[in-house]
Amino acid sequence: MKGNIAALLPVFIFMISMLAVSIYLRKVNAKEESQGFIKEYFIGSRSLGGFVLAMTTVATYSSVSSFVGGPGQAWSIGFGWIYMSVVQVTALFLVLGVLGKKMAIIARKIDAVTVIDVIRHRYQSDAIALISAVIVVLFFSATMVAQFVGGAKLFEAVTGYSYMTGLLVFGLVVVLYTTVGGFRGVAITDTLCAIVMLVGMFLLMAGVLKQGGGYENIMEHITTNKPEMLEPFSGGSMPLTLYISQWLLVGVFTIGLPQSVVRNLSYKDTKSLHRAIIIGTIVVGAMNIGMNFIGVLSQGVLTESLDAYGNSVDNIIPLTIATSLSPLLAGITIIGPIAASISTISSLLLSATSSIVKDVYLHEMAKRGTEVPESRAKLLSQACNLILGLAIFAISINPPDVIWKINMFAFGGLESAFVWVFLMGMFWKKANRTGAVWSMVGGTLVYCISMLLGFKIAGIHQILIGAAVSLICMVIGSYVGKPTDEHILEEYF
Amino acid sequence: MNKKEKYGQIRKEAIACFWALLAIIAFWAIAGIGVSQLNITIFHTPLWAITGCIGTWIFSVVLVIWLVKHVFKDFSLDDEEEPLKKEGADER
Repeated sequence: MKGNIAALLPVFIFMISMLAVSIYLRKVNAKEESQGFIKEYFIGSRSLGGFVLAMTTVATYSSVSSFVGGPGQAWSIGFGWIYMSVVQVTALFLVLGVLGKKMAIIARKIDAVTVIDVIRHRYQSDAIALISAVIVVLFFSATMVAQFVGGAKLFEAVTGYSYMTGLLVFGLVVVLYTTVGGFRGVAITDTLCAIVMLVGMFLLMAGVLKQGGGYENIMEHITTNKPEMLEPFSGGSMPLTLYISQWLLVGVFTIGLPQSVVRNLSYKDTKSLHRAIIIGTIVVGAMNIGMNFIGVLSQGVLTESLDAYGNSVDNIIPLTIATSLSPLLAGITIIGPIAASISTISSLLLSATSSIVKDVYLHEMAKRGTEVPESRAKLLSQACNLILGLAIFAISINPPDVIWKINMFAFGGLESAFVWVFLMGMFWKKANRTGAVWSMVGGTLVYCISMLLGFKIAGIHQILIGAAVSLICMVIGSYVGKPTDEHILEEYF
Repeated sequence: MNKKEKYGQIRKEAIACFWALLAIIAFWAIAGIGVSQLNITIFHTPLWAITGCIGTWIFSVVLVIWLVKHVFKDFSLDDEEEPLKKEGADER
């Protein structure tokens, strides 16, 4: 397949505009930097309004798999897959509604810029801050590689240009604009990304309906040829245990994902938070239902068995885009999934950088009593972001197997590590340093080991084991260990 | 609102979110797997898929709007008791 310039151009223009937006925002908000560069660069000086807060949280949370792998599964499973994905409507109100205000108040009191700042202060422990930073950088990096690879593969399949071209076109630019724009740039570009994701989704839906000969026609095809796709358990391919697993993994426990929790430090006021909860719930539902519905409808476009499509559901959406849309429309449509991938990368990259620069380096310097001049902090933050981004980019050219393993562990690993450390820290007075360290280390280790061994309880995803062990460790540790100082607790309760 | 009242309100909101979660899980189960037992198809689409997916979504949105309007309260996120206090991790 040869590359078609009409398919390449839209993505290229989109990426350049993302870069332009970031540069512009940086210029306009230069005066905020004088209030403190680190606070502006990593948290946007706590100024996000409701709409941007909602969109950046949704965009970070929706990854390339929400647009490619997931809908590909829906093509094979049917309506059960949409039914499963809709559990994500709980994600926004849980992370913003439960943790939002408490984290925001505390962050203002102690001048926290990262979630690790909050953890360090609440548990009065440098050890837990360091463990958190290592977990964050490791899991975020692997996730970023997966996003790069997913985006570039999709690009290759739809435009006909090479994997490397795709990676260069959007990979380099996302690293650049994140470095230039900081958190504010990430939040605004995320918002634009979320909007183009929705646009891409509607274009593709229209294309699929047309190519499949209309809704009625597609549904009749499914009813005749694959009636199990109309059942919630999909003839056994969607067992109840899978539903329960997904409720835990992509529903309830997403409350602990640090990349979402950090947004609680960034918004302006309670009005913004309230608006974000409503807008976010609407958008996350629309996106999940819409994209997976497209996956189901693709049955009308790709009517053969999976063997005919390279035996991987990941090929379904790229093929659907390529067969049902003209090159130019296809080029516009793939901005959607590319946007899903870059909006996740930008947030993770910046969070990982903040962990290295703010949580490790600047803290160590402060402890030693070495003053770090503003200009140096500025240079370091941006240099670190650029270098880390380029390193991840380089790994993505030909990722080693170990990255895939880590990526598979990342989502549940982050949840096991952080969910109780955040929740109990904010709402349980007894939670202390010992509990937090045990919870984070125990939960993550047991989760990863049970994933490696493929060990499950009652056929439910290992997140159940990870989260349960993490909770037990938190409770036992908190009773065994020394209580937290009264004057610290006073800030939280 | 002083600090104590704010934290009390936050606790109330967190608990309300928990109940909302349970309500959504219950709605999801009944509107999806429950309705699928009826074997009804409208507009060539199984009814459970409409109620279980779009229904759960709309139910969640309505519930969240209700929560925000009736349970959640607006207040300042800054410390009002000590209005003169400057930022910094070294209080008291």
